[in-house]
Amino acid sequence: MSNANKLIGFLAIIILIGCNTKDGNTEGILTSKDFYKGTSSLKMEFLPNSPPKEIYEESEFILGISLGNDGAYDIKEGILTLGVESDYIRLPELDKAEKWRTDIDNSVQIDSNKLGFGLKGKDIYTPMGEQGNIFLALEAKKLASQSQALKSNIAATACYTYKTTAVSTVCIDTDITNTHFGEKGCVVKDIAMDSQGAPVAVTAINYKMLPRGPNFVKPEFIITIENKGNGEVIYPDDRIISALCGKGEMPSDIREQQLIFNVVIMKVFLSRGIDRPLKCSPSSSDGYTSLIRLKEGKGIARCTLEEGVDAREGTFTTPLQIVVDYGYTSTISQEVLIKKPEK
Amino acid sequence: MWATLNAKTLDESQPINISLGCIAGGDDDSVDVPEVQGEIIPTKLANEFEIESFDEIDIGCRIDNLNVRTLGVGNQIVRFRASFDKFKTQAYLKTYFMDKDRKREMQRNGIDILAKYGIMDSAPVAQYTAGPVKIGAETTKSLPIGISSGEPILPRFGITIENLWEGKIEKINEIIVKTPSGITLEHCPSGKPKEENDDGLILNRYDFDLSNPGIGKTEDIDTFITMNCVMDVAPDKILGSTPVSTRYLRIETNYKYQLETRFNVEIRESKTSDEENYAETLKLESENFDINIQNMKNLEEYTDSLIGINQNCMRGDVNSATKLIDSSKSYDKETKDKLKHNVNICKNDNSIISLDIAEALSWSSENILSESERAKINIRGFKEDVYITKRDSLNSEILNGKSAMEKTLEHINEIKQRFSITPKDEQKIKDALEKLTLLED
Repeated sequence: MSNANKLIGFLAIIILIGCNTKDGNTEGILTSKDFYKGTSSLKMEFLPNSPPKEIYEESEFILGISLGNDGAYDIKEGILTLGVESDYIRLPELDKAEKWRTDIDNSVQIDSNKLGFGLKGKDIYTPMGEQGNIFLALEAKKLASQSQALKSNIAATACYTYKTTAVSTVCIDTDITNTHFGEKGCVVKDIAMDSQGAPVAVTAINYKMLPRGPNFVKPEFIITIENKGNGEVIYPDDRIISALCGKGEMPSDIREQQLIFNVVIMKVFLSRGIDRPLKCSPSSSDGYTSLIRLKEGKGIARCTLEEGVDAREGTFTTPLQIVVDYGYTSTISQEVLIKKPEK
Repeated sequence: MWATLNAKTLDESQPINISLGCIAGGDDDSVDVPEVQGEIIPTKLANEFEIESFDEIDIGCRIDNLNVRTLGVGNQIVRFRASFDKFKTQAYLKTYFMDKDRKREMQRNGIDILAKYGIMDSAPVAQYTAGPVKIGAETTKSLPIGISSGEPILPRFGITIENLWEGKIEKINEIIVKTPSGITLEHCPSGKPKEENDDGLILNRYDFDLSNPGIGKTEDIDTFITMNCVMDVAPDKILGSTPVSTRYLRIETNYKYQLETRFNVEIRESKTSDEENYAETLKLESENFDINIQNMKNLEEYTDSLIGINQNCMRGDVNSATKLIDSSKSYDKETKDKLKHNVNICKNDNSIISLDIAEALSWSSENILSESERAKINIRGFKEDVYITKRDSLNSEILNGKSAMEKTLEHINEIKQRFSITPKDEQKIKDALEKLTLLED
């Protein structure tokens, strides 16, 4: 994080502390919960008039892109690729560093059209998420002698890994048959969720207690996740990220298993003193990591605590933590009209 | 019969050569009717002439009495024809390429690939330059084209050359296709490509062999011709480092085109005798003669006035130039205002105005010549008693015209000495003067 961003974060904390009232009312104070809202991750936009809507042939123009992490998780090794029609627009060569400018601290130019970047997500120090701009000097080439104008497309595609963490309190009721006297501490009830500060959201936890022998119950959770963002979900593998934001070929093992688009990895933990992993299906070979394919943006996994809960523990609440790992890719584009200068 | 020819070149560095003709009768639907040649007036337009940028020309077609009798009574068609050679039409087709496996995977997941990568023009069609011919081009409709080094993909590339105007392509001189380095054409009516560097972009240039039967006919095309090739795509060169690569296929053709405009004419049986008919023609011609002479006078005054204005301008005497404009009868109010505006500019820089005036003077000289030519034809309308007087007045006006042109040439020399410019119209004036001299009796 840049010093400027740290300073902004520090000032924000002071301002927020200043909002606390004498009677301890914390209304208006940002808490970590506030960052785990929304369905955004990387926010990417062309800066105003960059590129301009119209440019003259054989002239240089500036392409400006603002990047900001609007979600709750850090982007560590993102890739931004520019796609231009090389017949009509010239990208600066890799060694012409003065043609690329960025104020993103964690960035590195990989190729003449490719930038590696990292942006911290929203937290108490950077409540808006880390942001930065990229400027690039492009050049419109000469049009054919009889062409007066031509529309050319400029696209920027970002690929990165991202994460969603959803935590909810669930009710574990070992008295399935309601034979015990007395009021229960909680009721087993399905949970609807909205968003967790990431484009892939856990939207529902439907659960029930299944009998496991005379003295145990086995909690079973049906978890629904959805892609609520504007981009595409991809398998969280660096080789795929690199291939999708470039011409690189897909890794053959992944290609054969058709694990490229709309696949996420999910792990679920139930707190039982320590976090216990749940066994999920569909699952990978270890049984605890679920490999969920999204269909029309939606996927479901079934997870259970295999060892069960001893009936003697009664009815109680405990946190359920769902961690979803995935890659994400999105594109913005704009057309520019390349014209011959007026005579 | 009169028609107006409007011509505008797309590229001033490539002037068009135009030749004109007119024909009556002999239409396809009435094969029995004989075809007769008309005479293009002004006669100077009957030979091939050049248009550099924009021109609007009035052309006439004269069919003499003998030919009218040959056609006979009834409805006839008169066709004006303008042929222009070495006319060029250029086109390009945008197409997209992507790694084949990635395309397959994205399609399997129901992802709209082009939308995903922000490509708005999802079904590109060939864009072609304005003119009488349309170049159509297409390749596979399933875009982007998936390419892979393991599995060769050979998408079709079809080209159509279509006649758009009322006329026909007399002859195709050239068909050239340029593909990006990495795309070669196969099964094509052309030889091996030549490498061409277009502003740093390496292209494969294919000059089509017009005698190849794969092209079909290359002359007298009034509908369209098509040809097909297959593209062999090298993924490593085409994909670059972007997920979707946009490439352009360029096509150009150069041809001779014959534009035709038809008029319906009704030829009626004359109720008057041939003598009376002839007398009527002569009457019309004599009236036109007087108009021709008056037009020559106006043009000479116009020339004189332009030279005067520019000479004053070159001396920096704006007041005298303005007075000349005000006193001249050659200009309407709008032209006067424009000239006055120019005169104000010429205080600072007269070189541009001088060039404009040189162009106007050449226009004027050519029109003096045209009017003289018409007058020379129309003079036959006069009877013997006035013929000599009229001939003298024409000769006198031709002398005035020559004098105006000589004065014009002197002024052009004056301009050339003063500014380092070469008025391109000088030769036109010299030509007009030479032809006008030949008209003297």
